[in-house]
Amino acid sequence: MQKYRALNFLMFTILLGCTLSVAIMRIYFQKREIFPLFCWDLFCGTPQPEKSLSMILIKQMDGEIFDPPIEFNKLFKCTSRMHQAIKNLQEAIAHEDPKAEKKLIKLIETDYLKGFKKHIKYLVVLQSFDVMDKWKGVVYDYEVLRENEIFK
Amino acid sequence: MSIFTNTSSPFVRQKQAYESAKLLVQLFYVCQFYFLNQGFYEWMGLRERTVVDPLWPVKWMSYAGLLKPVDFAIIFYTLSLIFSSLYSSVRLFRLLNFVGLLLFASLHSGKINHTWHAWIYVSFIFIFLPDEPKKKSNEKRLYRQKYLSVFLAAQASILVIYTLAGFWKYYDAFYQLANGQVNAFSFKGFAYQVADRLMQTNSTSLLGSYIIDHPWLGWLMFQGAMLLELTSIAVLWFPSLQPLWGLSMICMHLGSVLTVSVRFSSNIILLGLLFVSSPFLTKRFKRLGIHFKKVRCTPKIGV
Repeated sequence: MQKYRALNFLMFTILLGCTLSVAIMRIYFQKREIFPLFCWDLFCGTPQPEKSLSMILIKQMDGEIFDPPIEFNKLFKCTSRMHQAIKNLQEAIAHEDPKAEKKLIKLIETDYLKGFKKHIKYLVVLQSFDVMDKWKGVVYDYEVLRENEIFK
Repeated sequence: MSIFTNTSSPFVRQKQAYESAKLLVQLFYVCQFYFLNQGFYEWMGLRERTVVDPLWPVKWMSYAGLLKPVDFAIIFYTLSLIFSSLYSSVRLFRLLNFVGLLLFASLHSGKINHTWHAWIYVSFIFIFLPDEPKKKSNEKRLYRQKYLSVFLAAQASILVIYTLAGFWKYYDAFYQLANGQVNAFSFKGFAYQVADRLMQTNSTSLLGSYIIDHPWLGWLMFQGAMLLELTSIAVLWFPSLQPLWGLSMICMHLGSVLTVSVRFSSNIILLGLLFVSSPFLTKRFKRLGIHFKKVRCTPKIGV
């Protein structure tokens, strides 16, 4: 009987410990994940009508010119990792961290923009827009952070 | 699966719950072949992928130099899965499965991907399942009780996840409300979530446009989902509600496919295994559906 209660106590301690850890991690350190612990804050925090978003716009690809440039997710498969990478890239540019910027550009170019055949020209931009208006098709201006070109 | 009798003997109920739980534990490992199948499909792509900031479980493999981390992780996971699905009662194999799953998930995650978390937690907790004794019936009763306690802890880990998901939604909603921002309680709150998500991923969903045009529907759905998530942990003390809760959460995940185009297939399987097929059920429940008079506090099984 003692052993059974000890096991229950152990299980309870593990669960409580993990729960408190993720809560502290998010509230005090603004960190969502220390793998495999995750705070599970999915779909919380409603997007505000006025939103800023870092994005990659494709200007040219394999001889085709896009005017105005189009968002990468209209040409390539989009994942949350890709969005995270672009956000990190924008932060690296803002913090003037060339090492991190180089690593992230390599990641984006080799993993996410690899679908082109010969040539691609793209912009790293920061957009500010109203979510609902953009959904309805209103085109917004953007700030260009970087312009890059790749040849195969 | 166990077939419950109407007996009031806690020992009989304990034995039936144990038999059911034991089968579910084995199914937990067998179901992981579904993920392995996906892993094999993506194997080549994973080998070619650039990993800028690998997660810690695979970081060390880059220095090992013998095999590519991807190859090592997939082969290790495959072997651990074969043994743990055949011999789920052996702790060593359950431990290896946990390590294998951790490595395999790290390959896929890169940074944040929620497909694997819940499976990793349950796999970790199942390591604590006790070894079967061969002697006295008294010891067997204790063994069964320990087994069911660990199973209950695995269920608790899932319930905690969902409660946390609900908690943060309320936490952020109140924070945004206090700052005068659009929040989860706002009439158009969920419509903003849907529009933002669909635009980011350039995807479409069956109900996405409808919810943006008719925000009341999204508002109702989201309020229901938040409340259901927040109160999840209570199900631990009401085992007869487990299948109903499990099905509700499955419906919520199906709803998220229809609205924000986000799939949670792996969680659906886990909810089906641990809650919809819960071992802590009465015969009456299984025959007649939900019978609220039978809703009990804490699983009354055991010594």
